[in-house]
Amino acid sequence: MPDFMTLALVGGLLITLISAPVGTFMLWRRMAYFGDALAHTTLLGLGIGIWLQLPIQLSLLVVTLIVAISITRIKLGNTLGTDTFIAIAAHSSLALGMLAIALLPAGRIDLMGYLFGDLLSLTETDLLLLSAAAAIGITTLVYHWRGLVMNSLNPELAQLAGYHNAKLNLILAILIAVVVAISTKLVGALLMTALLITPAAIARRWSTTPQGMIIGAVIIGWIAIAAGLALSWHYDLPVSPAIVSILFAGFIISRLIGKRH
Amino acid sequence: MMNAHYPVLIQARQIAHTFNGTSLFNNIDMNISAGEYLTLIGLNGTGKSTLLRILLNLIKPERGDVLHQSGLRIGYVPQRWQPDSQLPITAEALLRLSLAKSDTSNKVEQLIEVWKLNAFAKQQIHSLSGGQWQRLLLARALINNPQLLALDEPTQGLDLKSQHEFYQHITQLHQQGTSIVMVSHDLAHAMSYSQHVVALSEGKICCQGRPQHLLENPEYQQRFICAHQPICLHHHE
Repeated sequence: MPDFMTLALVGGLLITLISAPVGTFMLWRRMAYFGDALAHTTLLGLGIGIWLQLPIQLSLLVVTLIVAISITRIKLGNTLGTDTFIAIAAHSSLALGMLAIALLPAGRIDLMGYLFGDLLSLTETDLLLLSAAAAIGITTLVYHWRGLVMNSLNPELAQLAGYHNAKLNLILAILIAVVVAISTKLVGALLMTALLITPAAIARRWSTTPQGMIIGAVIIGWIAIAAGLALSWHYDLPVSPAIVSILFAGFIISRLIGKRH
Repeated sequence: MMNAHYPVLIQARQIAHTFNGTSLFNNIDMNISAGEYLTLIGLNGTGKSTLLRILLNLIKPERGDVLHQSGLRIGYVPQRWQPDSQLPITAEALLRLSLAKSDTSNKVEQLIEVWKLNAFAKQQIHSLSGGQWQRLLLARALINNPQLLALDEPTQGLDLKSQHEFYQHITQLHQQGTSIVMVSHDLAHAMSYSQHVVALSEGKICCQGRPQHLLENPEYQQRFICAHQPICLHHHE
């Protein structure tokens, strides 16, 4: 197997190690739209990064964090719903990012690569970054496990049990932002949400415990990454769409044959 | 207010709150004392549940203060919590998750035994029947030995037999020393089981006192009928 394929495989497995657990929490809390919105805002991060000549990963991270924290903390009163604010933040960032990119000299950016990602362009530095993100993310989830699960089940009961809901919501929003920012280069802005949500949705079919569902989602993500890379290698297909298509097929199969718990 | 010689667990002063720009209630003063069995009654939309959640410090009122006795342990059975099937968890695991992290006792097993949850302890919570779910929620609320048990319309959707069993459990807990505060629109329950009834109407406490006192006193009765017009009109037909 060529080096770039090994790097892609290891990178994909590392991403899944954190994207699948975070995606499972997103599924429990019905936050798929939140993840999608953050993925849109990465275009603004890309535009700002190029204009200010910053490392792209850094500018993506800063922009997704600012948007994620703002969405989580903002209080809109009774007239506007949070979903309205999320939609405005997502699409305005997308539009501003597009404007920033349009003003660049032609050929400065590979827009298709950004939209659909390129797992095969992973470097060893990327792997270090992914390892650090996965380690920090998993430690955070394990440390706040009881509070996060209780808060996902019923925020009021979590509050009465002494958990700080606002803090837990913020921790999860930051984790989602980090996962979106570090994964955009690899799976692309448009396919990000599928990688976050679909493994958890497939795993739900066979799970009887929250822990089991997370472990199942990671394993399903790993299978999809490995199979997607193999498919892409043998049939010369783009990697991310191959992975997401395999996840989609897995989702359909799980609906047809899975045991419902 | 009742039980003036017992310690006050929750003290609410001058509570005012609005919902969607409309005033829900104004200047409500209320105490919940140790040993009390208090039922909050009122028509739909009078803000009973909101008031309970304000008393529990789950919602911050727009004006006024709610003070809790230091270290007060509260068990809460929320209204209409339908378990979400997205999150797979068994009844037993929900109890274990609710147990304080430092508690290494066999409290979960005890509760399963005492509340007869054996038959469905290993079942997913979203697959439980209404009665089983309510029994589990009550057991869950008791897991950290609460001094105060707060129940929001706990018998809604239960058949009469399950309702009767539920109230018997609550009465038993009250006799064992747990204070009870309950939101209910079930007038018969409020009158038969509780020691103290607080009726909310048009944004204020329209009347309160012992059920017997309310029933016997014509003035209180008149005000009480005002608060529960549909039920009482039906009753007098």
